[in-house]
Amino acid sequence: MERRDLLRWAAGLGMSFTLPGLTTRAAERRGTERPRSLLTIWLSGGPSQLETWDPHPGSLIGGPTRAIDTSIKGVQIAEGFPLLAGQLHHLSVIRSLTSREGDHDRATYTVKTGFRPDPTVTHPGIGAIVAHAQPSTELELPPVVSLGQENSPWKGGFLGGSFNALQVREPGQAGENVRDWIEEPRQQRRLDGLDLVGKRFLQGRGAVVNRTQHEHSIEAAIRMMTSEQVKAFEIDEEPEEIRAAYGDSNFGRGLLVARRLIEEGVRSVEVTLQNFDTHDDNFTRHQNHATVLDPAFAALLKDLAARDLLASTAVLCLGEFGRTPRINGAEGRDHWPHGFSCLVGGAGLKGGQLIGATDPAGEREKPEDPIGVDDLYATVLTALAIDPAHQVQTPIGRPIKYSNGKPIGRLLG
Amino acid sequence: MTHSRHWLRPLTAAGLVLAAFAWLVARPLLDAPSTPDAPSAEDLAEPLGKLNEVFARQWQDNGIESAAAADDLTGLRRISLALVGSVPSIEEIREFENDSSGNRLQRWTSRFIADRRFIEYFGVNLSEAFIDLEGDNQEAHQRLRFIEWIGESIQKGRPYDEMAREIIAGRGVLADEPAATMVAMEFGEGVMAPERLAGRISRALLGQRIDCAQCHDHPFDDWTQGQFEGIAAHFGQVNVRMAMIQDTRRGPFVIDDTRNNLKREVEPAVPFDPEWRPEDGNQRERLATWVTHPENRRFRRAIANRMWGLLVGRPLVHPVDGLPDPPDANEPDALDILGNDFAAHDHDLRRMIHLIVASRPFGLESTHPGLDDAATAQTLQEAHAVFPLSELDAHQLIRSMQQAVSIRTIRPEAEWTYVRLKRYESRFQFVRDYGEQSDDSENEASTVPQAAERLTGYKVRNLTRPGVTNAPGRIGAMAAADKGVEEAFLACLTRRPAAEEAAFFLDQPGRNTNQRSRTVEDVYWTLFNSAEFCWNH
Repeated sequence: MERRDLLRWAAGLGMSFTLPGLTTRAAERRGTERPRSLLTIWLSGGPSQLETWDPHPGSLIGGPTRAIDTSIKGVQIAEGFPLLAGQLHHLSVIRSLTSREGDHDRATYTVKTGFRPDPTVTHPGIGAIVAHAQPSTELELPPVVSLGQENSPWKGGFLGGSFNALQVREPGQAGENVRDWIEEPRQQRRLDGLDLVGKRFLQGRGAVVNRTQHEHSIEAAIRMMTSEQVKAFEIDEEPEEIRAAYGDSNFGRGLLVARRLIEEGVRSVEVTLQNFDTHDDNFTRHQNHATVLDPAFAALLKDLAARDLLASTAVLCLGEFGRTPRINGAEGRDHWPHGFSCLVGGAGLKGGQLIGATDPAGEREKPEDPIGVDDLYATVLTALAIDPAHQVQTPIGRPIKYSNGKPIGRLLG
Repeated sequence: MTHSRHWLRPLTAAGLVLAAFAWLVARPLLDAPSTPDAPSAEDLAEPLGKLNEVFARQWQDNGIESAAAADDLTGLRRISLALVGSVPSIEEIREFENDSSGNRLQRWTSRFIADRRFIEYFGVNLSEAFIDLEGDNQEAHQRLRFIEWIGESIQKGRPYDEMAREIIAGRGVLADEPAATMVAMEFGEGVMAPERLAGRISRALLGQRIDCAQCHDHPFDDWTQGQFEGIAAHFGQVNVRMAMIQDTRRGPFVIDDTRNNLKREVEPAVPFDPEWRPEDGNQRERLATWVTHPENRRFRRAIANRMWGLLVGRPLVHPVDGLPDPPDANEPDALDILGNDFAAHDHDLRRMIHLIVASRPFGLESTHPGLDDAATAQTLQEAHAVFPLSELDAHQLIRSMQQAVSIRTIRPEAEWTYVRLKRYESRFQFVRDYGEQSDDSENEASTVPQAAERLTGYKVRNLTRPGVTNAPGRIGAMAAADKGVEEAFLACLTRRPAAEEAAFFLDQPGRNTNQRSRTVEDVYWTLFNSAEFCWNH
């Protein structure tokens, strides 16, 4: 459908959303005038800190993993990440994240929201918070997106279902829902009928129907499908070298799509790499993961910096917990929430910092300088010019802050 | 004379063959199921009275009026969705409306339980408590066997406590003992994950979440790491090899305590009421007897909560597998009343289903003047004073759409294999792409990609396109257009259109077949995309 026809059609519908293309997209402005974004690389299953950002080569707990130097003086990471090592100065390394949750579901909830599970409330994912704090009238795409095979994408929680992540399990492959749309008068008639049936259903069910977000999701779907911005999900027009640099994997394509979405103004994107729950065969499996993660992550950082997007995009890489220093009988490591690692940077956060340390003998559970996940998120929010102490009223009237943590001074300018 | 009749005999023979063939093709492969007996009003009177009294008191204490009683067609839609995973067919609706003998909702509950689709749909729902339904394809066959076993066992009225004991302690060749699947699947590659197994048993059978106790003492509800390990230790003798599960491992059960860097021998122990655990039997059998002990209220309350959730759309207590400690036995709550009746009647889950369907909260409307305000709505819902809205899961959605465009009731055992396989295939693809709900979802809101799939997805389009053999096609060809609109509404929403709705859809330009056909397609599209279709109410 021609762009002109699109506009006429949309106007004919009289729908309540902004017409595409009439306003300057925020993404066309670079640098710090852009809205702020969060990009999280989620390593699902609990990545081993000893095989990633906190190796202890030569020690009893280190296993066969060797370490390499990086562009941060004095900081080494596991040897499977040579390309990332060259880009690491964009980020800082935290080795002392702690949580009290060792169960996958509970830990994933905690690390994605910054709060421990509470039976009385559903907390929003950090991506939903970033979107909630920065509403937009120009963005026709969903403000929160999850790319890759993830079973627990960010939810809006008490902020509402409109902040649930749009999930695309295989990013970079063409979606088929997006193109077809039948001719105008018939479509108009259908939507009128939908409106009529919907109004009748609303009677006597007001608040509960509103909570379903049903009508909202239809409007948002139509908006998205007719938007030019939806091209951000496709990578065919990216130069071959760029696509090769990110790598021919679901994860690599996901990171490239994530960069494009952020350029388009999407507020929060999460890209998932699975299968880090290495209770057995820990070393081989982490080595295999490194061959995918290393080139893609390095390409992303270079790309963000080159396009002047890094200053307005917080980048985070972590999982729900780490893994035990002690190697079990199956050449594996088990769950370890007592001192695990993450990489964090962008959005004006200081790069090159090293925070915390774990015991090279693997005996002491508590790391040096422990940092809670809530503190991490308070820091990220502050860098994104969002007040972590901002309170939101839940539907039953209970005030909850975006984050209960304290920002980490060493990471803020 | 005889030679002039030579043509008659082969003609008669051909005629007979044709007649036989026509008769074969015209009649359904199986007779329509009769509507079996159900527990009578007298049977259920006593527990039902107590159950309804609990809710009535709750409403009184909160100073609220419950919603009005829902009509029977609404009830039919609810039980159909809950038990066989689909909206009722037009055939079923007509039969139901013509059924004027008493107790019809209860009898149709029995009918749906006896349906083959119950095994497939309800069996899946209950199986989710015990096994991961996703996972690698090697175990797909074993999972299906387990689902079938659960569905069939409920259908036949097998005592649930027996089923539970088999799940915990069943042994032998897995193909012959599908109940043992849950335990066998936790022994992947010969290495048991005791924490997962103990966690699963607690959640599925005791309604108790103890997973946190694995790493540290439970932050709520007083479960300790030692108690969790004690349960896991009952599986220390299990040996799974070559698709066979036995209790032949010797030696003590050893926990690998990575925090303190030592191994620890753990004796099998139970967290409360140790007197319920017998001395005889192997470790798993002892645990099974303990879990299902007649005095273990948690066991009954857990399944009652789960069944309520599967029928009503929301469990009585959320999360479904994280119940608080039971109240004083002298002040039984709804879960106790359901559980006690259940125990007194051979742990027959069918009876529990009947009791829930007969309860006052099940029969309430989902509309209420108080629902216009968010705060009042919350109070009404928490007190079960109004029937909740819950989103149809992907399975229910595709099954319902397939049923709504079908002339006959879709009954898998009555279909040719090819048709059945094609249906399974499209269902599988739809569920995979539409997305499953996480089992922790609290009535998750509709998502944008799901809306996009319904609005323009080719799968839905293929369903609604009028054809010679489907309902949209037949409706489009009907002479009386208003009857056609009525059929579409009944097929999709299990109700007749309101006057203004009928007027809207009948007010279409043009009367030729093509345009009539497009109108029908549009009606189906509209109804499929309505909240009324996509949500249970």
